[in-house]
Amino acid sequence: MSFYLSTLAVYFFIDVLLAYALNMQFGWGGVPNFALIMFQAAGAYAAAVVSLGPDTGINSFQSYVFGASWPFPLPLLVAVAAGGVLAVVVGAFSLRRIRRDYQAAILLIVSLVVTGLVVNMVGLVNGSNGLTGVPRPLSGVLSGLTYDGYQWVYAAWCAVVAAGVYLVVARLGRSAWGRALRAVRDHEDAAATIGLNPAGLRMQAFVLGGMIAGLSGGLLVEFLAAWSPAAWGYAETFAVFTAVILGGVGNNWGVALGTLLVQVIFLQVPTFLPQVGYTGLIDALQWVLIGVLWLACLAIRPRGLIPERRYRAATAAARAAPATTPTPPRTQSATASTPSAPTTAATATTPTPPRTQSASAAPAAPATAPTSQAASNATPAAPAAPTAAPAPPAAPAAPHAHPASPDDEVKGPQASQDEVKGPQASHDEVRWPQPSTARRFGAVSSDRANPRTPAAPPDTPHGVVLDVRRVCVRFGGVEAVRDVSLQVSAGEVVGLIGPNGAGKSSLLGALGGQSAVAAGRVLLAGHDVTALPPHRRARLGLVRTFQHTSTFDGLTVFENLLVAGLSARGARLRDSLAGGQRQRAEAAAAVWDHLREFDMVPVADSYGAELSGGQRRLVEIMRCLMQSPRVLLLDEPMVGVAPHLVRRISEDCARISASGVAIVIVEHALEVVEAVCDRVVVMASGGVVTEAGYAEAMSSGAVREAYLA
Amino acid sequence: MGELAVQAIGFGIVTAALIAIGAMGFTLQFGLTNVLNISYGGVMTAGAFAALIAEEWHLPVAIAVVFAIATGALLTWLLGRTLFAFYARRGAGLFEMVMVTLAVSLILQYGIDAAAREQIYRFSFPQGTSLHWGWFTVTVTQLALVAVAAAVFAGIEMLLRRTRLGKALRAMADQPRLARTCGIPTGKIVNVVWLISGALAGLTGLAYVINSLTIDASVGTEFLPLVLAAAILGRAGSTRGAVLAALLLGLVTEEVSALGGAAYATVAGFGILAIVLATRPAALAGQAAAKPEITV
Repeated sequence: MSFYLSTLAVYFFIDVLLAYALNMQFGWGGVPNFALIMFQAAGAYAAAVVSLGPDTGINSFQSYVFGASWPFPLPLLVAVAAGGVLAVVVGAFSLRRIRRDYQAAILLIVSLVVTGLVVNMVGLVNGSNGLTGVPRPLSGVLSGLTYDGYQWVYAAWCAVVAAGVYLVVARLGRSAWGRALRAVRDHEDAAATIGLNPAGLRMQAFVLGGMIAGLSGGLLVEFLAAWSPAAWGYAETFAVFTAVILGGVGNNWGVALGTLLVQVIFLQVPTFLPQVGYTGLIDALQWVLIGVLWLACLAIRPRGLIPERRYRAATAAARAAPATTPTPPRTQSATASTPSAPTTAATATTPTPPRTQSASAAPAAPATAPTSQAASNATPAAPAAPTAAPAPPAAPAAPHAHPASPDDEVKGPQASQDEVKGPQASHDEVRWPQPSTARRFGAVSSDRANPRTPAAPPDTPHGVVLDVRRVCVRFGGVEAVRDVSLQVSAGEVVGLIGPNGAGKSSLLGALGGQSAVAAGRVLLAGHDVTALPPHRRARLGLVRTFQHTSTFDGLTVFENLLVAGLSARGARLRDSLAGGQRQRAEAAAAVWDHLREFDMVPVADSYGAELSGGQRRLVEIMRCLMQSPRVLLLDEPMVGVAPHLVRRISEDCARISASGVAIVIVEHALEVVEAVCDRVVVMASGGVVTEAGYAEAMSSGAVREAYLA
Repeated sequence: MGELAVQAIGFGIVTAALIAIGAMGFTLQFGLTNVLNISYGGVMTAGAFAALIAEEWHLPVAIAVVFAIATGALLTWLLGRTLFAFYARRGAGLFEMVMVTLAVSLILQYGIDAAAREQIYRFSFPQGTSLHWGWFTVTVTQLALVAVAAAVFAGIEMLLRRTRLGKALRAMADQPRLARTCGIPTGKIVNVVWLISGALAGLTGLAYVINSLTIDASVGTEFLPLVLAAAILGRAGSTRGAVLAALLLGLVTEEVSALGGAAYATVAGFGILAIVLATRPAALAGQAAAKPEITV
């Protein structure tokens, strides 16, 4: 009995590891890895061949490659590496941009093929007979133990490993990296527009999951002392899936519970049952029941027994408030030392005079300034070279940091300088072409932005930020955008109008990087971005919204904004394992400002999926604002938004553009276009028909022609 | 060597016919409903076992064929209209539907396994005389299989391009909601498609065991990957694509089997899929952009 229990305990902890691997890949990364068991197998085989000793050749009853007898912890490390390497290889072609159901089918096929290969290539790991005689680790040192005692020691060792992996995985799940990963899972395109690299993040999750699965394989083979293809049939993968789905996708405790129920109780209890029918009947029925259980889970509790934990920002904020300061409460924000600038955004955005004390010190600067500061502060990388890169053109935002510096004296103005400049400098992966103008502009406006006098919006900086040169977009044989040239200057708002099918959204896609540009070039402040993927463009300040809903449905509203505020650098895996608190707090302060401005505080803790259409639109727009864009592309931003909010968004657009941001709006509501746009571009059947001021364009007849053509 | 290679072309065409029958049924249904139906493999097994039962009862061969087809059609139609429709109504996404069909696949496979006492059965189907043309050798039954595949292809093409139903079906595959509002009887079309798809699944299962002569509960799941690969390679919903892909997969697997060893045949088949995925991801990417709607 004790032997049986200890075996169960070992299985449980190993299966929990496997469930964590799947949770990482599938629960957070969204990759339906139907080949999961393959990664465990890779770890197991790798650990086996490095501990079995050299293949003795012709006389040996089993043949395998390599062969070594490395001491105890090494085989496990090799197992981890094997799982990771296999994940890189498999991920390289299966993580492409394909439909999720295809992806699942392809991974399933990969799993079957690899099983076939291993069985057929006997020389590799002894084919279908598998490997036996894998030495149990440290059996020499622990020779004093009884067999039973050793079992329990091994179970404890597995528990320690599982606990260690839990700590790492739990930390990652809560981190900015985990949030970014879930954002990619929920909406890949939107994640790219906030500067996240979807392919990279997903690959990281896939490889981490592969490593954990490999580790579980190493532990298992050292326990079983044998490993063969029978141990990793593709159906095993589904047992893990059942466990994860039953327990709760995305919740580490949930998947552990699911593992206990499915892998241990459900799959092991039948061995206690008396023999029914012929041998193997129970085995077969077990799988039938797994199938039924799976269907039942999906029907009754699709989110599992213990669903993914909702991130409760409001509660967290209340808890954090007394300690530091940064977060939301309106009343306290005034005295906040570091992030006072961001918090003033709340007051700054409304024309009413500042109601907090610090706001008088930091005058009503345009909202984007504090926001951008928070956003760029949030990117933790930055630190080193504030002067290395030329002062960036997001500079319109930079000067507004100065009003804040009096407050910053607590910690020294120099520091605040670095924070402002540094991150932005590193924000630019490419060198900015006109450093001198940008710097001059920064200098001039910082003079103007005397902390004592309310800062006027900086002069609209002249110069083309977005330069579109003879761009064509083709889908198959259809030329959706034909030879379109367009120039947008900083601080300008351009409306893009035209009938359905005119190519407006396709053009936006070409600018944002979602659709490939067949011919022509797109220049962002003189830098050619035609070949850059969407997330790289976003990092350069080219931010867009989508015509269709693009909220991150599995993230709360607060997280939707936070993930944009922390953006790419905050989401780096390395940084997520340590630190990042301050950036988080600063970004959070900016999030609260936006939520207040758009009356969205009450739904801060709602999932994206729980919002109405109009609320989602607002979240999308706030998400853009969190990033301090240089060029903002809005695709029908007003659809489904309440009239008073339409007005407010319009006002926001005006203010944002006044701070030097170039805006392109695709919008059918012409009154909005009239109110907001400096210039309209009329498109029809893929080309530009006319380009003029609103009134002029309307009177020219070109618009009517375009719509009626 | 040359002889083997040429002979393998003959076998390749037969194998291609098998894959094609399955892939056409799969892709027709997938293209319309957007449900990637993994339970298709289980239904193939069920069809094959229905034929086996007919044989055990000493019924004529024609009845065995009808049994297989009818079992597949009914089973698939029932699953589609009850279980899959239930989950679709509850808002299951593309991947959730795969999970549902996968669970059904497990239930079918292991349910049949339990009922069949985990045995492997011999399936004797009249093979007819062997015909020889030069290096080619085929049996009459194998020729008949190829003919059936060709007939199925012609029939589906006719249905899709020449009939009102086919036109409605294509319209619905493109824009289900628009089709509904245009007064196209979408329910009826979905019924027809599930029935055709199921019938072809049953037929594929039967054809597979006619060729392999043995039958156990895993035949469908073993053969499904090739069918799936052909359907994915040929693009969802395209019967022509499915047939071409089947031809490619059939020839490659048989050539590899003849020249390099049977063990690597299927692996080579999937190698093609991997290569296509690696080199032409756009073939699949186009589908990622649109949000396909599940209609069952």
